[in-house]
Amino acid sequence: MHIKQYMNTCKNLVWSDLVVFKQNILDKIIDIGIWVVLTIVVTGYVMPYFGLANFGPFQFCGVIAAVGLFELYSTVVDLVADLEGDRVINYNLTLPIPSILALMSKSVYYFIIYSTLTALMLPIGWVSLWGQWHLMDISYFKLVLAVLFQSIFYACFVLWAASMIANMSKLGTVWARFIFPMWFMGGFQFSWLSLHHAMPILAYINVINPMIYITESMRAAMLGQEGYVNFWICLIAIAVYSVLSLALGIRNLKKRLDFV
Amino acid sequence: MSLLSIKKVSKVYPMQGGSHVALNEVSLDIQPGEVLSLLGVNGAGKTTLSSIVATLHPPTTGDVEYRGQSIYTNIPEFRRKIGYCPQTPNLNGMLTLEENLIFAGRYYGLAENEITVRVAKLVEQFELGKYLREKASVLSGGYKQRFMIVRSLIHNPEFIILDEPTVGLDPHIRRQLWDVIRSLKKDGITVLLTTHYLDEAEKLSDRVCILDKGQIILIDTPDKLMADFKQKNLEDVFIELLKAGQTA
Repeated sequence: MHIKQYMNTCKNLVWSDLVVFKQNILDKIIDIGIWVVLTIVVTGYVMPYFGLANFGPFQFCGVIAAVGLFELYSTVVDLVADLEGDRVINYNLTLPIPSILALMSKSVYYFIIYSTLTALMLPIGWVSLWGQWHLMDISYFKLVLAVLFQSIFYACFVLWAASMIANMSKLGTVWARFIFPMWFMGGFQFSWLSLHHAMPILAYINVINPMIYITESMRAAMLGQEGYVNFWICLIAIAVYSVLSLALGIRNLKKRLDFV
Repeated sequence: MSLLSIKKVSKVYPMQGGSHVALNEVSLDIQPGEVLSLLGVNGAGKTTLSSIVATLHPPTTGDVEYRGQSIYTNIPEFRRKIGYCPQTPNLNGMLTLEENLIFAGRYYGLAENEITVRVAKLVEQFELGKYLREKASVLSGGYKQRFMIVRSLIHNPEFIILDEPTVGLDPHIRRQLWDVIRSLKKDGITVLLTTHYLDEAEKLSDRVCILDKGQIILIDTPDKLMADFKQKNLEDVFIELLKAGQTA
């Protein structure tokens, strides 16, 4: 009975956030769509003239893997702004549910927006890569799993990232210390195996970067397993990083918000 | 039996190079249907105490009992029985006020038709009908505060905590909120009111509790306090107390 009541409250917390998200979804799609399309135009149509054949589909997988990461910045801004200002979170922490569920409801909401935006970018990317990439090459089962796992990771990671930002004036830290290094070293322009061939030490250091597993799993799902880290290992690593981010994020926020 | 018993509650905040004691072994009983005001200067511990009772923050030590049972044995169940209106309005500024109220009802598991009836009744009672379709961010402080009270009442709580509901409001808006608090009492709702307006406490409270430096220094009815201190109003009692505290 209690669980049913808790689930009802959590469902409505997520739903109220989605009502707000609905107001901005078109802008979000346009913003991310511009990034996706321009990346594909350059890597799929311009770069081949410089000898980088088939770079478009490879790069597109990296873009799809990073949609959530780029959306994460604005989510952290919203969350930190609330922690510092309106404190709607404080209201949520007095609702008739265990306080931890109020934070986990936030993560569920973030999971929904990250997975939705990623899924919406797939057809935009495919159309932009017209003829360069065949739908029959995709393992759709693995693709669904990859999108779900990466969205779960970002949804958990956002709590940790927000908990690490002391106030609004430190927001630049999110980009400079978390998003940019994770993305730039996360296999956006190279696969882990190619990095291993070229610079093995750097490749081994890079195994601590959760993004490498996200991009590799996406490429294994969309381009085939050959040449990429094993898909299932990637999912296990993403799951471990998700649990760690969620646990540390909630621990830090509990300390910061001093909730029951 | 008391509705709510605060038992030796302390709250200590760690600070660089030490700690700050916001509440020091505060004990207090609140009776069903009464309006109890927490009074004190800034930093006395009023908001800390009300946020602990609202289960927003945990006490460092001590316990809070509701109808003889610790609230910490089943926090969600206790939260269903209370309404909490914090000092700073925290309505969702991206939702309309109607949406804020509807979601508040849903969070507490009210049926949709029940929510419709409650929202209509409270909005009429608080004269807020014309603002329902507006977003919270466009409202003035007084109206925001009224919506905050309405939101905290949406699930029909037995006990409501109002933390400085009239702070910074124009005098006529304050008077309107006084009527609201009187109507809560008339409906049998127990009210814990945090304020530093002494006239407000004198006119609205059955009892007042004066806090200073995290400790209760006096608790009684306004009439009894004025009689004991031979003063005409609560403000003079308060000044006498402060003088006595400074002398001590």
